[in-house]
Amino acid sequence: MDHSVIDSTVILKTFEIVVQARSVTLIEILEALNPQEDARVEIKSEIHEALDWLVERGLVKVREAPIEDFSIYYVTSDGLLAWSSLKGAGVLDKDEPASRLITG
Amino acid sequence: MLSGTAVSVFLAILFTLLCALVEVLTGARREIEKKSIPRTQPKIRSCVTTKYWLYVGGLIPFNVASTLLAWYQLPRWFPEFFDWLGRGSNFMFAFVGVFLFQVLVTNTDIWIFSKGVMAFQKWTSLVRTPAIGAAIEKESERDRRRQQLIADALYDVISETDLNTRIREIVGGEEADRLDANAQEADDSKLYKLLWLARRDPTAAESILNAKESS
Repeated sequence: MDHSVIDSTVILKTFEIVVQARSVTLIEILEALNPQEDARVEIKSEIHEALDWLVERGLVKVREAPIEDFSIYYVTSDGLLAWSSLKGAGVLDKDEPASRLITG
Repeated sequence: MLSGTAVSVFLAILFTLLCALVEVLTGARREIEKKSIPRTQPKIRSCVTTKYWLYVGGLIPFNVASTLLAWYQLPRWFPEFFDWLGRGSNFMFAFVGVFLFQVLVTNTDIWIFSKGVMAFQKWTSLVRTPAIGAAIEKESERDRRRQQLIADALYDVISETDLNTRIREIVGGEEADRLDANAQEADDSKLYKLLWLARRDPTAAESILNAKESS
């Protein structure tokens, strides 16, 4: 299996929300990450890119809805295993953003 | 005596099914508490998937073996207690075999020269996680279908003005205004609000639908 490295705080935070919620819509991710309504528009594209990255690597899957905000993103078994590796490595306990997550 | 053993094995299989179901259900539960994320949790029927049966199939041989071990060994260690239990001892063999053995094994990792040669915790996690993942997938599909069904069913029976009033009653003015602003950016603001309502409060959405259908 390919090894992938998470080196972005946005990807990590997005992944954290999806893992903890198990399944969640795009609008819920935005609300959870940024309760400030005004700032959501700015981060939406970043979150979308992060989700695409996670979907591409099989850590998250998506069930499309007619309106993008309500597409449901859910964590896969690979995603759960990757998250527990990350927790096991103690990366999440540090103050600094997680610098790497090796999947697979 | 043979029928007593058969009862213990049958109970061990039953306990294994139950134990696996609880583990998958627990693993698929949300670990987050946010006002914006629905508090609904996975249903039992979402947990019963092909991967759940594979997980159960992987556990049964070990649990039956440990039950048979308990059936053989425990009366030799505690003869008076098992004489006193009588027919109830069949239940005890299965209980000890499945639950105590499983608790012991799933919390044990044996390391030799820094290598996890008998990393039971990791092994069981590798078998259990696909079953949890499958339950999450099934539940997500169920959520998406329900969200879409409610939105589709309400679309033609409720006007946008009426929908706005209902949403305002359910979530209050501030949140309703925020939703209205977001919905204006979408191609179909009514569908946006219906999908939002079906996701955030499916029970309220269903009761609106029922009221509309009966009126």
